[in-house]
Amino acid sequence: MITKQKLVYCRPTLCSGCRICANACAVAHDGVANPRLGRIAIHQNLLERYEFQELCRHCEDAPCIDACMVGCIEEDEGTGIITNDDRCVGCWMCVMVCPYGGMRRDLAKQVAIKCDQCKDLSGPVCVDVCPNGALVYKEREDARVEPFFAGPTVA
Amino acid sequence: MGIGSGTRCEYAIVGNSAAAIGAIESIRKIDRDGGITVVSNERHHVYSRPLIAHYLAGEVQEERMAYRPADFYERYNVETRFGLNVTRIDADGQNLILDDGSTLHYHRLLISTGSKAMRPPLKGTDLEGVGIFQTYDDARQIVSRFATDTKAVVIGAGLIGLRAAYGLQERGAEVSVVELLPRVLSRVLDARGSHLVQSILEKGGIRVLTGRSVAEISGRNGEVRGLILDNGATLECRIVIIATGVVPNVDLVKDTIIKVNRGIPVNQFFQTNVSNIFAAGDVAETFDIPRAGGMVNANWPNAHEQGRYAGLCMAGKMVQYPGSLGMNAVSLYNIPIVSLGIFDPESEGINQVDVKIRANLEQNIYQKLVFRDNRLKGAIFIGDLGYCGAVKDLIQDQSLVGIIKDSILEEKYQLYAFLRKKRQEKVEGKDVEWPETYSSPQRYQKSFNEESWTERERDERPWH
Repeated sequence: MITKQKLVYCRPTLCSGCRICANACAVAHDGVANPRLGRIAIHQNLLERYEFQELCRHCEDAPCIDACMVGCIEEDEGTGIITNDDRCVGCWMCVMVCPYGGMRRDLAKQVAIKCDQCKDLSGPVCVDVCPNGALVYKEREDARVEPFFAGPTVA
Repeated sequence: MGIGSGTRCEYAIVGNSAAAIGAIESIRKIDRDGGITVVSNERHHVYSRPLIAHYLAGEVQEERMAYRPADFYERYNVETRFGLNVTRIDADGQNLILDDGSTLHYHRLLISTGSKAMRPPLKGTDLEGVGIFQTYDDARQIVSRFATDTKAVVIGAGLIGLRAAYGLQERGAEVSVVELLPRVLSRVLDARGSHLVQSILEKGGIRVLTGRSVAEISGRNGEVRGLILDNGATLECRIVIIATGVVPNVDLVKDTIIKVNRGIPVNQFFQTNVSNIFAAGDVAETFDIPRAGGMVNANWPNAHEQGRYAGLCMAGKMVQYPGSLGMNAVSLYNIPIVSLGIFDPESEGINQVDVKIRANLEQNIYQKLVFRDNRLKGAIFIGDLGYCGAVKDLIQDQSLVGIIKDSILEEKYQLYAFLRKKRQEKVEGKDVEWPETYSSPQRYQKSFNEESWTERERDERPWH
């Protein structure tokens, strides 16, 4: 059962759209500084002056797990972190169903990439590098529903 | 129909694909010790049917075909009866009669038999080298017959047909596609999108013959050698794949008390008209959200989701299913193609629609949104996926999007403001604690204010 899962939250009023988070993410995962390969994406338009952050919410009953036809998107039962692995064939089913834009596309390799909350490192690098403190790593608020273990019931 | 307290609940599942796996996983979330038995006519460990086209292309190797790890059934304590067909459902006695003569008692039954491929009444379909393209065995048979510089023909230019053609070409074959209808992907795209995809295929080297039917498949010594079209032309080939469409596989429930329409109609808890028999996946006829009526939506995401909900309901946690949505995603020559909901309102006879299109055919980009009553009903994305996940979400919850009609495809500020408001709690949190130094740096107004929107809607206040 998942308790006290942490999530990356963003504070849009503090975001300046510098994309340092996306760069750091790509460096941590792929070793290249390319914001397009970041698991977090920042949309910025200087004329209309907005920044918009897309990041994985590690949903309960995640639609990407439903959609993945390869079965390579998996949820860790202990931590609730949803990851995908290298079996991805780039069918874009997960991209089609993710309402948060959390599934990103690696166009060079033609595979989907997604946030794994840097589970092999000490914490999400995007939070560490954000110069404005616009990203926060804290306990999730929409607490996951505890599964109830009942005996078989009568329909 | 009920079972006594203290008795172990016996679940039976017919079929072993997305819906069945979704059901197993969610039954085990609630009922840890009920007996689950899976009956399937295929002998393989669970694999992904859409992936066989990638297997044919050589992108995916045999050891990577499994949809779930090898110890899945042990881990979930599931009994498997593979290689067996169900001959009859005895709904009164709650038994399944299998074709090896054994019976299987159940308290809850899930029918997730999926689709079956249609076989047109053609001469020569029994020749060696002619086959349908639906199961792993079909794909393996084609691969085993493969020699380089093979000529191949795919009959039917639907999603399965085109994926098969693409897979064959990746493996090195010279492929032609024959389609009876005047355009390719007629169930997935509208006319303009189809023509774009056809030009992409032809540029890629696949020969597409539309508006042509096959008169006969000819062969020598029991092996396929060629194909004769209705205009008398012949196509030389060694492999023929028949992909003329799929229908829900309702053979099992025909002439039983279970009602059959196009598929098996189910209620919001996936019950058929027999309350302890459930149906999910490509065989089930569920509530379709944009069409607001019963519809068989056969695709992988729906099947797994429906299986998940059906499993919860089978185990006694009655969770309402909001409804399904027709959706398809495929990638041909690294060009992504997505279609959602009602993408072609004219062909379905739906009027009073508002259509927004963004097209750049030179760059293989075509995007289309279909609105009705200020609600999104369908979409097509070719080449540039844009923000199709958010669009799918807007179709699924049928929220009013009249004020952002123009800004979805352009990805303007209005779309982002709308989405931000919609998901503020999820993305930004209710009460995020901030370091004191960053308190209230109100640089500019970013809020989503309906009053100003309506003013702008009436063109009383221009955008700056």
